Amino acid sequence: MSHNLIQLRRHRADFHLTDNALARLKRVMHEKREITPEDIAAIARSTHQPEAAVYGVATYYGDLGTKRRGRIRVKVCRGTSCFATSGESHVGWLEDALGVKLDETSDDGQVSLEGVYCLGFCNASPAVEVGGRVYAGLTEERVKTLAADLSGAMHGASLALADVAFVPRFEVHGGPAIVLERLAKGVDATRLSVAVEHQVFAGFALALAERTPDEILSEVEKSNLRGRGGAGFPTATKWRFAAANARKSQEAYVVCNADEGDPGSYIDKYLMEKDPFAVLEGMAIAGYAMGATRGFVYVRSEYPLSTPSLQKAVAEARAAGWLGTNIRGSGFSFDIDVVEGAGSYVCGEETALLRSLEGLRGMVTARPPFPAEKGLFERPTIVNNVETLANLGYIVRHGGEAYANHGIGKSRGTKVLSINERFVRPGLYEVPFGTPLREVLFTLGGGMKTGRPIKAVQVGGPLGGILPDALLDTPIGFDEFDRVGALLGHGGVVAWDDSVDVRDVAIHLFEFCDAESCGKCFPCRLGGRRGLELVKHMRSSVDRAEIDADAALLTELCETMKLGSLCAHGGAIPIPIASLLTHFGSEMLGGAR
Amino acid sequence: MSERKLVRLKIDGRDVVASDRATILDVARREKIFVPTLCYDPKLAAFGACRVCMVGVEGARGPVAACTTPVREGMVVDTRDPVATRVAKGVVELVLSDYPKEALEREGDRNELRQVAAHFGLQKSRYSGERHAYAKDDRHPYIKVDMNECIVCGRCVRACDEVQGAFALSYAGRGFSTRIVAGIESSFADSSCVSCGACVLTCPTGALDEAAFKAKETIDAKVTTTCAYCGVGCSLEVNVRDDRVVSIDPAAEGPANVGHTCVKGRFAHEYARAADRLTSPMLRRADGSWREASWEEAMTFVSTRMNEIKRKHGPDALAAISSSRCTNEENYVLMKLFRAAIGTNNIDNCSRVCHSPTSLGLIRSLGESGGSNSFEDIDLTACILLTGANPTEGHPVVGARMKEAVLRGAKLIVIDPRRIELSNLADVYLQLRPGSNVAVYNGLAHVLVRDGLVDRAFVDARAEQWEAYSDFIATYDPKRVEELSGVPARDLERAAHLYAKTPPASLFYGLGVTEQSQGVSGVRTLANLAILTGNFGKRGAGSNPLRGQNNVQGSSDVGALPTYLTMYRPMANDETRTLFEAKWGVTIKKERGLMIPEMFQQAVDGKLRAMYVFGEDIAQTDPNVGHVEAALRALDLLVVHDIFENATAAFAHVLLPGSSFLEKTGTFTNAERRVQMVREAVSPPGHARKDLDILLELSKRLGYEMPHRNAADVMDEIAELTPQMRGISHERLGTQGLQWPVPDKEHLGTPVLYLDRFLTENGRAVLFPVDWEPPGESASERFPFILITGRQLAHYNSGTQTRRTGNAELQPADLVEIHPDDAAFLGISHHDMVEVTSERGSVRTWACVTTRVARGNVFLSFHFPEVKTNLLTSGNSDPGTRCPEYKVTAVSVQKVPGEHPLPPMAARGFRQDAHDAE
Repeated sequence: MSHNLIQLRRHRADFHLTDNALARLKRVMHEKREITPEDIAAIARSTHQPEAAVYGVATYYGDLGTKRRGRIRVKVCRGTSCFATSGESHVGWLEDALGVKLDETSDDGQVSLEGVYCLGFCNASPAVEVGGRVYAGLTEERVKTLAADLSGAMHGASLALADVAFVPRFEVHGGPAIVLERLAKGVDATRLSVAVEHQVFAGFALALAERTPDEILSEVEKSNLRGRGGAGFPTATKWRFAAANARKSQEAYVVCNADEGDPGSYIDKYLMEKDPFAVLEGMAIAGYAMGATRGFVYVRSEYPLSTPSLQKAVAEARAAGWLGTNIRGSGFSFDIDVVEGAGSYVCGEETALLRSLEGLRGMVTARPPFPAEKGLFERPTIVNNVETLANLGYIVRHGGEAYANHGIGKSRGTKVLSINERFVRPGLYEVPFGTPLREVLFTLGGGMKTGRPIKAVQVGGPLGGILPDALLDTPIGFDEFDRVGALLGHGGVVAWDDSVDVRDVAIHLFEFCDAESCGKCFPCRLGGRRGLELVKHMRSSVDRAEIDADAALLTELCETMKLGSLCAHGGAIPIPIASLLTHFGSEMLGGAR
Repeated sequence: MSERKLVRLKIDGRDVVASDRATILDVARREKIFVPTLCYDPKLAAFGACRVCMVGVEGARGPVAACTTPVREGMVVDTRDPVATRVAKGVVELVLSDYPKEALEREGDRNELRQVAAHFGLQKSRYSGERHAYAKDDRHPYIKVDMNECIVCGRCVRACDEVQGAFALSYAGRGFSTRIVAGIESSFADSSCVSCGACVLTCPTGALDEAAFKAKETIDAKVTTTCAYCGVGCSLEVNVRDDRVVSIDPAAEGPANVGHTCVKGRFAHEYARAADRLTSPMLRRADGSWREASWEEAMTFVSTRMNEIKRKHGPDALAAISSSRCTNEENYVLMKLFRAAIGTNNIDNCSRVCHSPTSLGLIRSLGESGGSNSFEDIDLTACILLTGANPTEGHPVVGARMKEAVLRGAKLIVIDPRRIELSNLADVYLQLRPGSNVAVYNGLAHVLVRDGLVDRAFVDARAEQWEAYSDFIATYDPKRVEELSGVPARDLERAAHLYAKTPPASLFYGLGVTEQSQGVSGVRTLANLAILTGNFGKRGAGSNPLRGQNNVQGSSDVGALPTYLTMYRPMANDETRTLFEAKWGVTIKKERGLMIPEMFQQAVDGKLRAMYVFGEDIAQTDPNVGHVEAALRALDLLVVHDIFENATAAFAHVLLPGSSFLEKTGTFTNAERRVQMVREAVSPPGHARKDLDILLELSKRLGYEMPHRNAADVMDEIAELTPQMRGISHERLGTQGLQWPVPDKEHLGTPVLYLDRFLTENGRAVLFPVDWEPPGESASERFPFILITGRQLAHYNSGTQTRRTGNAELQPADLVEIHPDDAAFLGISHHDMVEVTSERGSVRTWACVTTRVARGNVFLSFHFPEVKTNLLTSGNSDPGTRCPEYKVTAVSVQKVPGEHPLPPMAARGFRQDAHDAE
């Protein structure tokens, strides 16, 4: 992974991102269930990529591999919500029912069981995906039925078991409906005519007809919109920088980060699958403001329905003249390609995402330079998350000030929280920034399904802090969460009641960190594994002195990773670990709960 | 690119000023503040992986990585910030948890991890847990791989990509199992590795090391010298232990190579200690066998015989072939010996058979016999037009630098009959028919003139003959050129437009231009393109020959030529001659001496009776070898002064054992006119002597004792007698050398020629109108193929050196490249034994079926004496220079029946078909 490899990719002028080395490897894997050295050599030749680099890609992504997988690939969700629901029992049920261990393939080559981090069914955990279909709400019984069904399928029968539709609630409380404008109304926004009837593309049309790119930038600036993907970076600042660089570059791009990787959040999934035109509109507005003519959506492969939904939407939008050259006679041209990832959490980090789009390993690049200066193929690029983009139509239509009227402090507008299955009323809730977290959890979410008290709540995915009951009154906001050692992140909310052993939570978090580390920076590559080994040892050891020594070293490791890691993957895992040590210290050391 | 600004900051209490492009680490290094690093290498783009260079910055949320953090106005940096130090130490402790203890304890001055661990006072790690266990890879002849010592810093991957552009390495896997792999996780030997050694050099641990020497252990001395292979002139650091070369590294500050070198310069040095080195003078017994002789006996024999022949047949019955492989000082002394001690101008060097058309052509068109610009200009150019050269094999460091330029965004036009590796990166590739250079260059000029792409202001101000030239060029319309050359008219137009519209544009060319029957015309019609577009006198532009041998520039510069004294000044010029006569105290003949091909003819005719051949294997490398052999057989005295008993030695009467470049002091001049120091690193083996000492001793015995005590003295005399080199002395050359002209002792050298005037008599460049003429040979019914000759990466010229090293395992044979369609027609399969026949002879070797050559062409290298490629080549030559037409020979090809297995090739990156285009 070098600077020059990116240059080489650019030199090949290979912008067929849906047909690059990564896409071809995915096809080979899909067809043959393994990637052989011959496949790699052939793909290297046909894409003008170095063999070593193609091999590097083949061994990086979870969906790919050089080991042969089963004819039926069963992907079990190991995300935090599924873990919270079953404590990973569902993995064991599947292992027993299928007769194959996790990450292995059955001897007859028929079935393999793979772990993935989050299928986005956190409202109906636990979940498993087979052949592009997701089965949620798993119980031991349902798993047995599924296994029997799969067994039939292995012998020629088609899959009979229906995947139950586990569509979550979409609700708006305490403020305007912005992100859930259509979903909360229950209209079928996947139909272009319905979407347009409900204001999709109205903002874009207004921009083209009556606003200069600079005016759009001003409105976004006034809105104080901050990135919803996790980092909360001011969108207008990013756009202005990108626009300035775009003027000096022959090409510039808008990339939609649709790699909603944080286990526990699923708003992006439903925007892509149920309101896809709103996402495209946001990209088109960004392209207009910045001066880009091409956009790319990078969709995670763990959401098998999202890519086709967006592809269909792009085709329809193009046919209707919302994308393409000289859109609506404005002279502005903009088109979008939808690219699917291949299973890597870190690809949600913007530089890793860009490398993946380029068909390379999704490894993190040090910033600066930021993507707005050197992004896709080292050209100026705006990278915005799906939910962020879904705000733009509203901002253009109503003006930045109207948007900024809602919120608290430097967090303006609304935020969608993804409430997980452990709650009485799981679903997606859009609330204005400043709403106390407790209100969402109890008034809207209805509290824990088990009726037991909440012991710990993790907000913002596995890299977010863990809040005990005492901190639940914290108002929802980027800085407000930061102040209590937590992270708003992407707004995923996973809660545990008092039956959980927090040491298992720690093991779960480090397993995730270790499994998904891109391997570039030393603290994360090594620290993820060492941390996992430490917390496992703390869990199994009964020697007080050993446990104390482990805990001391773990505390040091947390500092090394937090302050030393290149990106938030290794840099933020210490946040929840530190929360556990702070709020549940004696339990972490093997004491009473 | 925005303007660079200066910013003020404070680092460890010091107020400093730096460019806003600098990183904290850049500034710390400049200020000599130690910041530990593991993944950092100044040659590579900042990466930020190891997180060991953490420093504190006032107001930042936490420590930052110094290597990737740019400095800002008002920044306050504390490299000893306790939190930053604690984090860095924590990272190193993590690294040690997966690093072999014994490797950490091993002595050696190049293990950076060991140094960094010591800096933090760490001997071990408190972390236990899983460790990696990898199998070692020792299949490559030079590179030893032990991934158990790998810390996954990625420096090797980046060096491979960013320095060499080979892309042979990659990261594989992820998380804890992230690892570095070669190729498809095979062996280095099975990857596209070209063995440049950049990865070994940068590896901070013992994971990648030199197989033979354990280079990362201690050494006695490091000697900076200049590579003796191609004309790039890489500056090298020779690591010496116990008077032996342990290993060779590229010098980080080397001006031509900037810390890089190739498989030859870096690894192929074992020949200097080969068992068959000549270590004693040898004389023939009566039965024709060799016997060892003392220096006294051998020198007496040589001087007596030379004097006898001179007495009997006159001084012009003797001739010398000087060596483009040897130093300027040795070449100067040998030419002085022949002109002063013997009294003949019969001295020539191998530039006769390679770049003599460059000398003549560039002097006529521009005024100087040298490339107009520097290799550094490859980093500055916007467009490269490369023709008749295959730099990724022949001049690998330049080839790598060109790759980097193209990846940075420079445009590339390749004009070559063979689809060389760089043509796969080219924006336009013109696959012309061999021998049609002049037609194509004229065609490009036609398009420039026709489409208004000429820089008229430049031409009016600085060139001659515009009117006549613009009329002349009208006949070379692209359609006609397409008929003459096979280059599609549209591609020709694209190339001309790209070259003219992408300033500054640079020309680079090699022997594919000069070794033609229209060699001089090729050089001049190519230079026309740069004149027409105003691409002279500025950085990133010009016309730049890629010289074949390390000192082919210098040996000619210092006058080892039959026509010139130093710096191409004719003896015919009374003033020049008088200058030398006064200094030397002799009379110098006014008439020119024999050129190499003429020497052979005169020997056959019985007029030439003695030859002194210094560091050249003419019986292998000169064209039409049968004729050369007849000439050598006819001589009364053949002295071979060499380091090996080469093919020419078979005809010799005496062998004088000389020294390799590692064993002597002097200077080489590379293709960018840079005179650089060669420094003695080890002693010559056995009774072998330093070449300069041999020549000075011989001159003395011939009755002409020269006053020089050493090479520095010789250079002082060259400087005294040569205005363009007046400012050069060994003392001044240092590690950077000087690019001539250097008119005085304060002058810093001339990276770019012709800044405001050309060096012709009237200061104007000459637009040269010359018609294309068909090559000396063309395909016929009997000889339906055109043979092109050229180099392979692992080998150098006659292979005398490289075949005595591990490079012979990398490329064990010359192969005949033939297009798949032609091969199929002839029933030839890949690696079948074939016979290639020309009018003059035939050779046998294995076929390589590849699309690198066009239908109707075959390609053969000339590194293996077994193959004797030059039995095939013709006596045709350029009329002005007698430079042979090596590049166009009509041949036939047929399969040789039977089983003839190709010797195994140790590394796949060297297979000639490895770079085939799809």
